[in-house]
Amino acid sequence: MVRVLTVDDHAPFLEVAHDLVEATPGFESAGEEGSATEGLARLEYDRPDLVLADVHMPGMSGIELAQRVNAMPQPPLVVLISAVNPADLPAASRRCGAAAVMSKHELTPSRLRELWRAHGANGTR
Amino acid sequence: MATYVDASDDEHRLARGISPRAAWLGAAGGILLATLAAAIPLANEGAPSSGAMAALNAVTVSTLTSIGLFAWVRDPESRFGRLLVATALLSVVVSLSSSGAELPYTVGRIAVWVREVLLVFVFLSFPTGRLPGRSERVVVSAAIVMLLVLYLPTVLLTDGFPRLPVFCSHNCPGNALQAVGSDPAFVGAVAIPVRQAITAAIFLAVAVLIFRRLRRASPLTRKGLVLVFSVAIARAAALIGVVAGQRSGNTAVTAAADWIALLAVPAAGVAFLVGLFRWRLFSSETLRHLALDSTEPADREELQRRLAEMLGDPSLEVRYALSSDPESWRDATGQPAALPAPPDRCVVEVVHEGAPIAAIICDPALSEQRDLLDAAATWLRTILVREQLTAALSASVRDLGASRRRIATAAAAERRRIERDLHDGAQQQLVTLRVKLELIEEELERDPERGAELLHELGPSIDSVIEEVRSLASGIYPSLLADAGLVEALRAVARRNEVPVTVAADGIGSYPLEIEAAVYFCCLEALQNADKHAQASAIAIALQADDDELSFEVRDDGLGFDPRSINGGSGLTNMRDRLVALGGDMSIQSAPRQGTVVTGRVYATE
Repeated sequence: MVRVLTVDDHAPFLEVAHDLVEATPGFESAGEEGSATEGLARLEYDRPDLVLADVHMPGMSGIELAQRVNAMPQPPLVVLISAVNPADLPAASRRCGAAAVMSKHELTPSRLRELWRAHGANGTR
Repeated sequence: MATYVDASDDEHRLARGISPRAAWLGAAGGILLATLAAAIPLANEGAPSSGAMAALNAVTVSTLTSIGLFAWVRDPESRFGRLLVATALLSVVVSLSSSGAELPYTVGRIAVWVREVLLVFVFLSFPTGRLPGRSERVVVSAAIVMLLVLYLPTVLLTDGFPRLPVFCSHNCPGNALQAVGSDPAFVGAVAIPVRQAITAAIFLAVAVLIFRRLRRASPLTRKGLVLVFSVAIARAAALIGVVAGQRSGNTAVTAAADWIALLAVPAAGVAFLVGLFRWRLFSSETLRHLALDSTEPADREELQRRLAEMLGDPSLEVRYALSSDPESWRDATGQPAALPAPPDRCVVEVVHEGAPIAAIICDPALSEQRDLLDAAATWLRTILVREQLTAALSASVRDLGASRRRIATAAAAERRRIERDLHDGAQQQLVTLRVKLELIEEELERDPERGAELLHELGPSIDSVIEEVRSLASGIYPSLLADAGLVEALRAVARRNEVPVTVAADGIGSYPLEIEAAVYFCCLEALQNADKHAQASAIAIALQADDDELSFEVRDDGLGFDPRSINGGSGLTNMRDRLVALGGDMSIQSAPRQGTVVTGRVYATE
């Protein structure tokens, strides 16, 4: 089972993300955190396979979170999601080490599986 | 002397002067008198050089009359014209000294003495007709006292007058007014020598005072006075010569000195005229400069310099009044400086809207030139008023600029806020709904009943988004305001408010959108402030429409506050800016425990 941690400051979205992950075959939710700092704290003791992080969060942004996660040894896959059109995101979002950047509303179970197949399924992670 | 320059001056002026027609009549009278004065020596066969004396008398009377009348018409404020006319009339009486009959001769000789005193006064008081200082007053008083004590009483006591060869060479008429039988010795031994000495001293004093005045005079004053004073000094010397000649018994010297002294009288008249003309010429030149000058002086000191230059008076100063308090006069550098007292300086106040704003302090010689002073004061007033208006305008423009900038900043901040609200609120919710929808789609395939349930649960989420968007739009422009107008929108707000609010807005029509919005949001802001801070039990909103003005008032009976302690807050500043941009204003009155009233108005027609 692929374990997914979702990090977003918008509580209703965390709920629906949990449902979405659970509804995707072969995936299970490793938890939801309301801020990047809490997400990082979680990563101290738990290693999910995939982290879904919102770009815009108060305090630490998803971009910075991606940078820090990728600095860890054997980091999980980080996918940045945003309510904003990805084309309007700052360039840093593409350079921070996130595997992909996508719109929130594009998130579906099939897209999730696709992402995993494309970036994370090769077992080196 | 202090003069007040304002619009009502003309009446003042005409009250003391004579009309040109009266002056021409006077001139005609003068010619008649001159003829009379000339006739007297001619009528007396025994008079020496009667032809010359006749001519001298005619010239004296006509010159003094015409110049005196001229001065009287031109400068009614000045007594000088009248003094000259008086001197002219007295000169007619003096000409009786050439008569062979006793009584006229006596009267004429007495008139000579009186005219001398008058001439002392005239010379010392040119050009204003008023004595400028204490020394001058002392000398004139001494002359009068001497006339009364040492001259006039002797008329009753002696049988003849000291011989003046110009009037009669031999067989001089006796004293018609002699009261005592014989000639008391002391008159000849005491009175006459004493008075001769004092007379000489007085004429010397006159010369000295005149010289002192000339030395102290500004270039402008000197221009007009130099000729006068030359004549005066020559005359003083001549009269001293007469006294010396009488004492030494030297007829020739006496005669020569006396002729000079007599000639000096019409000469003085001419000198006065030349002096007045010189000033008048200068005055019209300066008037021209003042009228043509339209450049803006850089500062107060340059203003003073320029005016001093134009008026030819280096001692000229401009002083400014900050308020109607006499203590508040300042000079051009800003130092406190009270107004000087007359008659040392000429002071012209510049009055604007009933209060003095400045004063021109200048050479007393200029006080004669009323036209010039009027023009200078008007020029100064124009500059100062223009300065005031420009400063007020700049301040107003600056305030408006600051207000506009605040509005622009507030508008930009408002747009950001809307974008944030939309993004964080409605957009996030819609995105979440989108993902949910996707999940429901898959669930419907697996478990249609469960899927239908989940679909049904979407309803409230969508309602919440609708409410979110609606409330955001309402913050921008409430639909009720757009549909039903200002009064209905305010009534709706009043109904929704927890604290009871009354709205008094009868007879208020509709206004352009931006005006209704400005008033609506101001009232709303005031209402929200009252709700937040005032703990009021009742709030009253009142609208009123006058001809071209819509005004509002939001009054609460709550805690009140000290308006100086809070800067209004950004909300109220924002509202004020909106009103100011529409040509209105807003104010807040409040005091602790006395409630608060927010009033405002905007210029609008329905």
